[in-house]
Amino acid sequence: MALIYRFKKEKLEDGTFVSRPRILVTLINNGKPVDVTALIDSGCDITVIPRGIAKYLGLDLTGKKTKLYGYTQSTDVIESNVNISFVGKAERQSVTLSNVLVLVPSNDEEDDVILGVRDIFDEFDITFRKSGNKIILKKVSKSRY
Amino acid sequence: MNASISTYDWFLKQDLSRYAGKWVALVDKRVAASGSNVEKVLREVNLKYPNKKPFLTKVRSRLSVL
Repeated sequence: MALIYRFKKEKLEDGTFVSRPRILVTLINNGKPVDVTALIDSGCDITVIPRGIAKYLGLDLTGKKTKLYGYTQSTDVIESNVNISFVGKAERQSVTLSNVLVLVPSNDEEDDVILGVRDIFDEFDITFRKSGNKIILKKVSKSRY
Repeated sequence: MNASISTYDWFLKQDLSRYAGKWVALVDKRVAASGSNVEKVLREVNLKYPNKKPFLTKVRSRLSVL
């Protein structure tokens, strides 16, 4: 069974448009949920969650401190864990990954939720079909390992 | 169809460029709160709609690399 999402056409400040692979996930901690659009990024090693969302959900922010290196800069981050539900058309289609390792920036700069390779790409085969406006997540069968 | 997906489908069709650079929280297919501080946006929605699950998105207005 596959989960299917779409690209979101977004208008930039110069009047041009871009399409971004925004999928819907529910972040859950201690039964507290937030639906949020998240970007899938094969160039990001681990999933990143804005500090404000982490604080709202009450995530443990006392974990290991490390650095996340980007294209031109680095950011201090804290390791934490959260449950991530990939939302399907019907409730029964949704897939929940428990206790996913995430990085939470130490500063208050806030950007999108970024779904990185670790855990996410282990659990799903992901296909981008821009021409067909589809992002397809297919749960990996564990028997393949 | 579950309510979250219904809101997602609605969100995909919306032009939210007027909220450039901000976080936007949607409830029942309308903007319930917006702002630069996502925690404040979430708490505002939680106060207004304590029994609703907020749907959150960040509106990017510039070309970007993650």
